[in-house]
Amino acid sequence: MKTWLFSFRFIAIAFLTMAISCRSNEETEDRFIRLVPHANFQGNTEGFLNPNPINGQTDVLITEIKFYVSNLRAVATDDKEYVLAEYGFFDFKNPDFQSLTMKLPAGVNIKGLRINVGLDSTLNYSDPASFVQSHPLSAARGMYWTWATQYRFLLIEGKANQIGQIGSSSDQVISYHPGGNHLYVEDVFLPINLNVADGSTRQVSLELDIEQWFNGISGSIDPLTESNVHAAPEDQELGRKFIQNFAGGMSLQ
Amino acid sequence: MSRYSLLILCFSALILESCTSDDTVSILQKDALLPPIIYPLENPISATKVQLGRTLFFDPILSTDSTISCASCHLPEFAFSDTIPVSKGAHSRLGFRNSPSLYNLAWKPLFFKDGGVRNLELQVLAPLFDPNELDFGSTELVKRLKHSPLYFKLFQKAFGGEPSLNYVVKALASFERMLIYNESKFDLFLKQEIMLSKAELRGMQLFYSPKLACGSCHTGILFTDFQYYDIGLPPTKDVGRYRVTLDSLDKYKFETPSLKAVGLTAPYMHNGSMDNLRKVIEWYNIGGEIRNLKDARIRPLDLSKKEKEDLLTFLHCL
Repeated sequence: MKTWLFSFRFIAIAFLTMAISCRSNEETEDRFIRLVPHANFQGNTEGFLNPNPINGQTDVLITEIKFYVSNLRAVATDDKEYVLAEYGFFDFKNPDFQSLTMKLPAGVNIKGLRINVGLDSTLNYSDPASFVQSHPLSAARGMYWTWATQYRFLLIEGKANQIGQIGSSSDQVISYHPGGNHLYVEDVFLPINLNVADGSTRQVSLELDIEQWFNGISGSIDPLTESNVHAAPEDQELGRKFIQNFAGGMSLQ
Repeated sequence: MSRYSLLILCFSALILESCTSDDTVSILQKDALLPPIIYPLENPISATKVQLGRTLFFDPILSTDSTISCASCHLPEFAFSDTIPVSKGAHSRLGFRNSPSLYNLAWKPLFFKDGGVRNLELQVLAPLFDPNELDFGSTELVKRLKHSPLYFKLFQKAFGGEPSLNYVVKALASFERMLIYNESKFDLFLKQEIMLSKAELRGMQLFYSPKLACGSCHTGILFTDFQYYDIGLPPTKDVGRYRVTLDSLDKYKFETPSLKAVGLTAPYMHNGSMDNLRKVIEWYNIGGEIRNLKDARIRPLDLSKKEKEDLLTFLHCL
């Protein structure tokens, strides 16, 4: 009986060891991309928490950046797309939401990422109270419009003033909170040559050009006179312009 | 016994009657006048949830400065509405619209006067987070509840877990879903238990008459069609349903309010701009402001003084 038990234990341990080693082999062959957002001004200087001279006339100090992206896909050199993540959330002030790590498809050469800015209508329909506090879609993220039962897609806040005047009592508070299914921006292509060795993770910076938020593909926004976007019907045109400029100002490095 | 005490008694009796000892609820379905309640699958009703929701509803622990509870603006003695045009929230900040009655929410398809919120559970989130109401972030709220031995126990009992935002929402919604008012004079009349007075009957005939057609919007046993109309009130910055749909045809449209217990819910209209029912009747009699998108049924009615009194008498039966 003792001999039988000993043999059984030995076989079990051997199987377990094999299973663990197979699994770790698989894991080491996987490739990952870690997307880390970073705000800049005209592609150069640090944009977050620093005054950014928009149009050489107005300083804009951004103090809060939170946003959702969804349907993140890798685009292969043969144009085939591979879904990497259903959604992601970034919050420049919360260390838990300052990167998004996604597994890349095996054996595929990638020429860029395609992403949507905001949440698709299904995700936007989520119940924020049903998620644990740490979840990206939880009400704890401060992105949910309770009166309209949907999410803000972007939450950009800060101050604006004449050049050199920022920090004075005449600062204009700026807050851009576009959201709603009609402001969902789809299929933003962000080119990057992604060579990631098997078993490694490549960190890629998701660059956000603050200059382009106010001077971008959908036109100019004067932060002193067009300082707020919320859910009011009269805000929608400015909201559309802002979120499109935001999307247009994204790039990968 | 005061009207307040009577209401509380009736209300408590309803809750007690509806909650059986095995934590299931056999609620009010025996009332032939009311349609059955459809409970959400993700929040089935239970007596322990209702009890927890009731405790939370009356506790200022839910406001950031611990000064107000849900019941501060939804007073039981006034059909769970408030007596002022717009209530004050935490830090005495003024709210946005008139505080509505919470009776019979179990049958409401959408919430808020513009229909922006799609179920009762999600509605509960709004006052919790609104800076002009309870003004609480979910993290701080849950932290506070976890520190309370009473709530720790009640949440365990109701959900088998510690306090969370999800459970707060479900408990409050469960409690509010049980705020059912079906014992008005008119309800008893429909159940053939009492007779209305002559003036009340004349008022009822007027209410449903083609001339007034109040019953075309304030329809059914709940006295609402849950639709949205511009009734020609003076425009304010509150654009009503337009805020939700972004369709300019919905500008200044607000949900038809239920008239159940309407005699208790003054002041009236979405902004509380009319402090009594006489003013409301007078205003409908005039026919509101002239506007392109105003509902065609809102037009001068040419009511006599006696007709207005009869109508008022009937409204107080509801």
